[in-house]
Amino acid sequence: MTVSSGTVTTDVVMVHDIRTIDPMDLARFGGKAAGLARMHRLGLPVPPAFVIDTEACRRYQALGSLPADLVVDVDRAIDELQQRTGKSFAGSASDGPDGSRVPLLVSVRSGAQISMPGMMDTVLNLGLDRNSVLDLAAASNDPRFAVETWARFWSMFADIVLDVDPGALADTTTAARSAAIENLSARTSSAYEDAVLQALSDEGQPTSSDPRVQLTAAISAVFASWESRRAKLYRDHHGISHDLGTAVTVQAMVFGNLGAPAGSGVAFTRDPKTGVREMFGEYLAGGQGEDVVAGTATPVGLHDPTEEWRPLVAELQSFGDRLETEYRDALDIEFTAEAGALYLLQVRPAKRTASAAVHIAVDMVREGVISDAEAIRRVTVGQIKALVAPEFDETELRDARSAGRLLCTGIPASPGHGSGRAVLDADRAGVLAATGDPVILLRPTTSPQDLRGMLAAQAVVTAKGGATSHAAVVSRALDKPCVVGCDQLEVRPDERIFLIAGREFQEGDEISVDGGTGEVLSGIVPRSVPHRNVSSLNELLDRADRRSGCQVWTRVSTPSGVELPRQTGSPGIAIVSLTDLLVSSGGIDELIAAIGAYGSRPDAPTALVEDVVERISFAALQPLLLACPGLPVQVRVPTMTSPRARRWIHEWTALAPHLLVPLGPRRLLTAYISAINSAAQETGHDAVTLLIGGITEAAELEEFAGMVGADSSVAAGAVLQNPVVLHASTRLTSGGHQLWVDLAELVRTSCGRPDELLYLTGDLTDTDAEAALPELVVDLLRGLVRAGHSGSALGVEVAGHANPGYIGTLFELGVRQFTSTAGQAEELRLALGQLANRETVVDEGTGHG
Amino acid sequence: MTVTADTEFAVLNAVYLRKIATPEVIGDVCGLPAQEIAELVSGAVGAGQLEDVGGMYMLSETGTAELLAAYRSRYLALRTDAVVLGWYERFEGVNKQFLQSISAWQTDGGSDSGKLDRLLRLVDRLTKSLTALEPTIPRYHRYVERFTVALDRVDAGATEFVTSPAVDSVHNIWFEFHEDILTVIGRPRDVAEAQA
Repeated sequence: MTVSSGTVTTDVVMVHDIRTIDPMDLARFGGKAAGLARMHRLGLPVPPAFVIDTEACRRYQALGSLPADLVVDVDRAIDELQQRTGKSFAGSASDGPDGSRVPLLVSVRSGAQISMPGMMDTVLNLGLDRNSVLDLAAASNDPRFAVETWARFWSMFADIVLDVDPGALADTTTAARSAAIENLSARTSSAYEDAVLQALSDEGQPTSSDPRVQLTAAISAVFASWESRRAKLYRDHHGISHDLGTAVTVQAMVFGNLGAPAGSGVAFTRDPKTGVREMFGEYLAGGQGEDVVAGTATPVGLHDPTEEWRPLVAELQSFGDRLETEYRDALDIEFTAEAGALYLLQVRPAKRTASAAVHIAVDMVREGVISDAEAIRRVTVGQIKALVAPEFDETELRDARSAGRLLCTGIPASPGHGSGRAVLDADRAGVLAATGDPVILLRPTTSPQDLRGMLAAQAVVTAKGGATSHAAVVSRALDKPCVVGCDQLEVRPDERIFLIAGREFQEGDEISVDGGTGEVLSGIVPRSVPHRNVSSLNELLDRADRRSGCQVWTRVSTPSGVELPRQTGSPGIAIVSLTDLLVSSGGIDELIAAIGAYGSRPDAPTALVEDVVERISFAALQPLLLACPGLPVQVRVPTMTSPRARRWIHEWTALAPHLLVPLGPRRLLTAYISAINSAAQETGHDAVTLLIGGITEAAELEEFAGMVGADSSVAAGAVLQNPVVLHASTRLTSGGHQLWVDLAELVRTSCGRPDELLYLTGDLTDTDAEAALPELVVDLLRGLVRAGHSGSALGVEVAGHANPGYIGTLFELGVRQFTSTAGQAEELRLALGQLANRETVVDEGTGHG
Repeated sequence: MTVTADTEFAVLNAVYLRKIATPEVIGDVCGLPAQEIAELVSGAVGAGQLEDVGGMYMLSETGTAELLAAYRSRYLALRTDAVVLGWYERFEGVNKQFLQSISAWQTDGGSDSGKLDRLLRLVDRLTKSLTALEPTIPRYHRYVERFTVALDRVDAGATEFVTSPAVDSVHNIWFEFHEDILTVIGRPRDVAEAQA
């Protein structure tokens, strides 16, 4: 159908039935209409619709109003919709055979080739007035539904077409609306319409009650929004032509409470929680308006429909299969049955949990539907992060609850689990967090002054406020657990106490917060990585590794830290700081004492130096090696000149200079080497490397390697931390040793920043996605990568979440070995796979969406 | 010492809302040139109102007391003014809608352009209605300017300008404005949030 065929008023057809248009011509018909056309061609039932094309938009811009012949063509297209649906628009069609009359309601949507901000949104339910609302009430046998449908139209029309606050409109017309709902008649519907028109007129936006006039106004509003300040800015910024224009789609609406069987629902082609391939969803059978309002209507699961619905659900299943084949993704389908006929209203890629996203991507590769590259593209780094985020250990949480440690349950506002010391003031939270102590910020409510405290905290709890309070919004922006509206919580920041249900707690007491359930518990609930979907995750990350050709190792600081990397198939554990192991094993104080003894007397007896260092180092290393048999482990010996050593060793500045020579004191070094040799031998671990940090020239690495010994089962390597050592790249790589670049330290020393910055910068720097590496660092790394072709393994240690800016730089430089902390390593593996995708010239999967 | 000049008030108020701020941030919040900010900040430090914490500034106890006194003396009459209180009540309604729509956008994964549009329309509406208050509180014009800058950044595709606390995002500005108007009418936040 071309509605203007045979007319002389139109030289170019600008109004088209969606059954007749080319679904590929997005420039002319926009995304919405093209999507409907595509579904129609697949044989899927979509409600009748027509589209006003982008040529009309260009003419509107030129004329400053709708061309007169366009208005005529729209009228004809509406007549066509009336014939096809058997419904009546604004009372203009004759009564049905049984004397009844069902009003035709339409939706009006903008649709440009590229969606952009500032464009007019959707107006629904257009077509009601004081008369047709009575017809709708009769047809549905539900006056409340009819009036509320109408009120919803006015709210959207005011908001979107007239730019009047819909809240204000609803407030001033409440009485008339209630009267119409309670007792719908020509009198009450007229009174409501008059009240709305008066209210809009009072707001300076007089309008018409005639749906045909409203339709024209809505179409004009779409075209006008193309020229809105925001849409123009967006086009300027993205280099989109201002001549492109937007189309307008006008579609007949169907209602799930007209005729029988009728109803509405949403179907997912795969379970959105788990990703398992089975139709999932539910529907609400129609004609139970009062029950819906009262909340007593029960949705029916698609897996177990009523007898009447069985054929419809079977039909839906076959539509779902057809759509998946076409769109090559898991989909959600909004559907309505009106008088026994099924309609698909909207189809789009289904929202899914992180776990389902990974499962679906991997399944679809196995099913041969999508490529590896596409699977890697479809999962986000954020989803990986969510999957490997440590959560409260289920058993520990259950035990904590049954031990009566649940203090209160507030409103969950931002998901995630956090534990730490309760601090009642933002400044104090920042100070305590800077020392490395995890902190939970507890406030009566939050104000802008609390932002810094929120940044520093592991989680945020407020006594007042709802799920949409400022605290909730900020926590979600920071991806931090947040619980609000804890009625039983009273926070007294000045007295440094808080009360929960009358029980008194001190600032500094440890608490745990579950932002997903709203629970606040006393004490620390241990966290671990949940075991969900590990096999799918591994398969996806394997595919990402193959694509990027990268190895991402994992940095751990305790023996138990190897659990996640073992589960996700990490190629090795590096860089393990022996100092970290000594901290967790409790040996650190003895190490500091031994250094002190040696520092005061270079000839201190071995019983006070080597014996101690060997014993505690062995005790710290052995459990780690036992925890990861067969997995390469690379351990860095403590560095006397590190910032941490300076902080920990009492009166570091008074240390004898002989301790601060290159490689550090040989007596200590020999003891570390001896300890790791014993630990490797005893545990039968044959892939252990000992790394030396802080060196400034290649000769130090050679000397160190000599000390470790060629005949030992332990290999030697180095962690490169400053520009001076990197400058000697050729000689560094000639020995065939494992080399790791400590990127954070290299950047810090290159820029001469104080090391305290590393401890103070929180999430604020993470948001700087464009953060680039200093040019000097890039040049040094380039030299090292080039020199590295002679056989040395060369890796880069990256801290923090995979920052696409500098990870891309490293990847382009040719770095293919990385290490990061557990969790962040998994994010990095996916990010590298996605980078490799970007570099691939042939793009295999563009049919998506 | 009392806070009399508008620019002195603006500087102390910027630090009050941020708790701690660099001269650059103070300049952004006040919309004043760097040179003038430097003079105002050093004056306030001299008067014992601001404390220098390593190149960033915080209000001293004196500074806080004097700023709140300045709020009282400037706006005491407004605290019983029916027009201002009526404007404020309407703002609380808009604030509720704003926080709801920003939460809806966030929990949607921040990808729904329709939801983003709705919330930005509310910001547009707030800036329009702020002009009604400008004859009474002229410094509110600065919020309109800041909102405009943030909206432009969002439209240019920088969605961190919707909620990120690390930049002068729409939510940041809104949050500060909310605090500001609460201080003007002398209403503690507890009461406002409990009613929300």
